Amino acid sequence: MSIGPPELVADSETAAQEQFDGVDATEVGAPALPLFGRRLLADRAAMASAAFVLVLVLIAIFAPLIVKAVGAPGPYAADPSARDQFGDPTGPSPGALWPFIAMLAGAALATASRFAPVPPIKRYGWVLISGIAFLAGVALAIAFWPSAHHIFGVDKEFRDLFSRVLYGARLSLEVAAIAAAASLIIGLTFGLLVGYFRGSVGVAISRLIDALFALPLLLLALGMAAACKLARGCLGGVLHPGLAVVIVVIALVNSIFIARVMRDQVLSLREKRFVETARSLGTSNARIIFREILPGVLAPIAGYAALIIAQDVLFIAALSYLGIGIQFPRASWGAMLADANPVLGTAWWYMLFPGAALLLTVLAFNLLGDGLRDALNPRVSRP
Amino acid sequence: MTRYVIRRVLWVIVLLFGVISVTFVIFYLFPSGDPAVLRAGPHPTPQLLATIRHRLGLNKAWYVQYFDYLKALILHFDFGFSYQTHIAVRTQIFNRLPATISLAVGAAVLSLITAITIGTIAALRRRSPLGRLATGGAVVAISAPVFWVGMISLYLFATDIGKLAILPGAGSYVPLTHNPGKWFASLIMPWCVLAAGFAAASARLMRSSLIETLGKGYVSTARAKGISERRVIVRHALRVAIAPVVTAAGLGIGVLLAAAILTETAFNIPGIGRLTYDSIQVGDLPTMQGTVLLGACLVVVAKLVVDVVYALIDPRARSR
Repeated sequence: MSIGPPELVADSETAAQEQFDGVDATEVGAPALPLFGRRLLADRAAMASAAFVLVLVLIAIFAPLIVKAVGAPGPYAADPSARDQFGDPTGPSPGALWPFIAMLAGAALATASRFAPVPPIKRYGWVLISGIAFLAGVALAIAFWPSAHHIFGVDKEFRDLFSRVLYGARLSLEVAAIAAAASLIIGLTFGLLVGYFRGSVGVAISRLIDALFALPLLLLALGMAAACKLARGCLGGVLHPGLAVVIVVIALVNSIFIARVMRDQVLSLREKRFVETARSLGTSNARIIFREILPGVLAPIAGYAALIIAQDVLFIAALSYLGIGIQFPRASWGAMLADANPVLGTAWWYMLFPGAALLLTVLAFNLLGDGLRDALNPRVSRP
Repeated sequence: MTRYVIRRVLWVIVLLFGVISVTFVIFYLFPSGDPAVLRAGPHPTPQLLATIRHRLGLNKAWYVQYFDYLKALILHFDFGFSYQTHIAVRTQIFNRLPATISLAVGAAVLSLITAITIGTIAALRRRSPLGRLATGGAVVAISAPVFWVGMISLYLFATDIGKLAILPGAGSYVPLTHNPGKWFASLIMPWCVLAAGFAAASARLMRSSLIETLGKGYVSTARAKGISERRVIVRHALRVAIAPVVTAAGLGIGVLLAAAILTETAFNIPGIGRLTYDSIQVGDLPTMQGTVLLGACLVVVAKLVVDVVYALIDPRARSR
């Protein structure tokens, strides 16, 4: 990573940007946000993901209410009557999956309609198709769900899978949000300070961040979670296996990553002319950091935050799958998939629904993060 | 070049030291239980505990323990003994290394080839349905949990439980030296599953890198010279565009190994990943520690190799 002197930058776009930065910062900052908003609104995948994330958050918050509304027995209660003629757990009730199939087919058709050769269908078809698919899904749910015993079937303990998948969303988002928030605060603070103050301590911490970043952090994080699990507690009993360890481990790994990204951003911003101007006017360091540099790094960090949550949800599931994540009674998607592994050939529903929920969640956060990043980066050409 | 290699090697030694130290903190200082009890297994006898305390020097100060730990590791390559099988962890790991290397190297090669092909198509046919399909498919592949993809593909294609039984399923791994044909067949599914996510990530990078390169002045110059478009892309653009993809792939080796643990678990391949999983299930701390330590060191060394090879290809990398 090197920051060359601006006059050597041959790329015309960058040069233009440099000149642009020479203008008063407030003038540049003001119109940038509406442009960002317009670009984001035009990104259909990002907007659809944002809507999905919103629905997911609502599902996570209101999981108990939803479970009650569809008449499901809840995530912990076993229903021994849900057996087939061999005494094995039963799959989804007949017809219970139609709402999902209708909505999936609608999404596929809406995507396909973007490539239709007829211009009006190409432009507006997706609105109509997704509207119809949504209404059809709701209608089918009203028709089939009240009579369904278990919408997604039951697991090997005869617990309702639908309730468990919903509660799994709750757990994933809870852990990912706490870990992401903690790592954002730690990473942002370190990144700002180390990037701005280039004294010997700052440079030393900067080097340490580089060294830590070069280590295989995922493997070490996995080892840390495992050591804590096998020792039945760690840090003198402060941390117990389960939620707390997963959050701490993920927050540690993420904050190193964020601190590094932030530091690089700050390093390039602090050489910009508007910062130089502020400094030559005798502005205090604190004021420069908060008023000149922080606004510039907050926007890119929004995109990173979404991408980091996506990674976190995956990592939480992976830890649970390996048996070192969330502890048993709570419903986590990874642990459900681990339980599904031995009965793969027969109980397909046990594998399908937690995995699909995991995939859709991660996909939505990834698309949202991509959208935010592209909207902020004027040099990315739109497809 | 020699100076560059020496600098990289010194840096790797620092990193290896870091890995060893972090592992010491994680496995010796971090857990709150008595380390001797943790290493003695489910039925510790006072005699066994005393032996372990003596051998690990657990009544000494932590820096003496750290020094002993370093000495055992560096001089004797000693990772301790698994209490489950009473075999040296070192032997256990080396027995399982070939399977993990087969899986990881195969998946890495497969993912790079796929990524460069798909990324190039996506960049050249940006606005076509095919290009958009590749771009959209890549996001889905990145978001899919590798163990779930493994389970789905077993459900679909494995000979024992699959709906379309065409490939050997879980637990069918045979070493290369026993039967190369069966070795290859048993690894087809794990390779594809492990490679998918990495291929997608690299393909996205390849796409944006090639798009950027195609806008550069020297590509226009090459076109202006009147040489064929095919030659412009292959000779002038691709060669430059691949560089960041290879760098990123080198940085992703750690993630690849972590994903290999999950893949080995899903496909029941007797490699280091499966060893890690099994040692977690039975609470075998020494084995767990050994696999994490060795895995982390392997990643650091593999990155060195990638860096040096890259510097051989591209002289500009040496000055960085």
